Amino acid sequence: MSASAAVDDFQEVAFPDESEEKSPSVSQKRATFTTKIVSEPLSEDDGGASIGIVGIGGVVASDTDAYRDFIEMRTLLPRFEILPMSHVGQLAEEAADHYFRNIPLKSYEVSFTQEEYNEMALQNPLLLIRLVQSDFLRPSNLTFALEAVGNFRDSGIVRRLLLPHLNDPSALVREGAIYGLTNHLDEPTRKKLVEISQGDESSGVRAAAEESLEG
Amino acid sequence: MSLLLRVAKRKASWDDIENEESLRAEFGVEGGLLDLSLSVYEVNEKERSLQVSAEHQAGSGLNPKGQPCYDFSGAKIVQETLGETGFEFTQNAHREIKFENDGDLKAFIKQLAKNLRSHHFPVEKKHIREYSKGRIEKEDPEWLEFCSRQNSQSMLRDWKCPNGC
Repeated sequence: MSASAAVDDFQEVAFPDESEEKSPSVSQKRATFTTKIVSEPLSEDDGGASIGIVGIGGVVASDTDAYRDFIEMRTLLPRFEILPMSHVGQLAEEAADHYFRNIPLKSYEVSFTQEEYNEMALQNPLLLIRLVQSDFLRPSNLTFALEAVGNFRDSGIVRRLLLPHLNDPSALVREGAIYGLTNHLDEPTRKKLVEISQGDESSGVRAAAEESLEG
Repeated sequence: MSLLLRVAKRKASWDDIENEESLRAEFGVEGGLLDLSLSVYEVNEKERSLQVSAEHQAGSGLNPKGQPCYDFSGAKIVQETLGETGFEFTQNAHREIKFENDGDLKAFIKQLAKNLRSHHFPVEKKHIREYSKGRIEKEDPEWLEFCSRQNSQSMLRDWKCPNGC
């Protein structure tokens, strides 16, 4: 998928907002997440669990230690595939019903390398968009995802995704957003970066903003 | 005396490098673990930090930016391993510092942080750009080969490549 194709996808995807109930129904999940059902056992000691649900690049539900499962899932799925629920069949839908009804949806930590995020920006931009809009990434990893967003060609999308992160409490996140914005500066963004270069509490962030303004 | 230069991933992480998130940003690997085998480059003069940072970024297909280097000399276990930058100098200068566990790594960083300024070699983006463009203009075969790499585009589009790519 090209980065320009992602623009259309991005506009069509409905993201849950904060006003949505905390435990949305299965149907809401289907509307907001695209998922892939994996039928292989996640591990030997899963106590019989044989289904994992992968959404937004990570496991959103499983029986036991979800983080460990996620690592194993990455082995099973070296490259994440995102499929609409309607494509995964009756069995998978029943499994999804079971999991969403019985296990509260949680956010689990996922992480990728700088190089993987850069590749994702080109190969799977929708996944990258979803990751930076989720709370799945820690600041130490989100910083690299935000920088990779800068590889999109559509400056409007880039600014829409990155500008809110310039106010993030984490200096790492602010720095990543600045790098992502470097090739997408309009006048208001430039003014914001001037402010940051003069007043951010982190010397590293101030330096990154100065560098970004120099082009 | 030789230096073991580590190319930083973020500037802000070095504001407080002992912080858990900073450590993860600089040394994190897949699965939220810390990398206990750190890539560094052994050089004899601090002036090499610009070449190291430029070749490191080019070799990794990263978006170019001013990534400073930090001197990690003093590490106990240093192994010679061939680098993967595609540039002879940094390929040969590549080393891996081995740590036994997270505590070992954190203790080393804590020691480093006590006198961080003397270990810090700033590298600015404009100097990376000047250096890289200069190598291409002088038809350095390694940099000409770099222009043909698939992952060179993020760096090349950041400035007008003198080779026309």
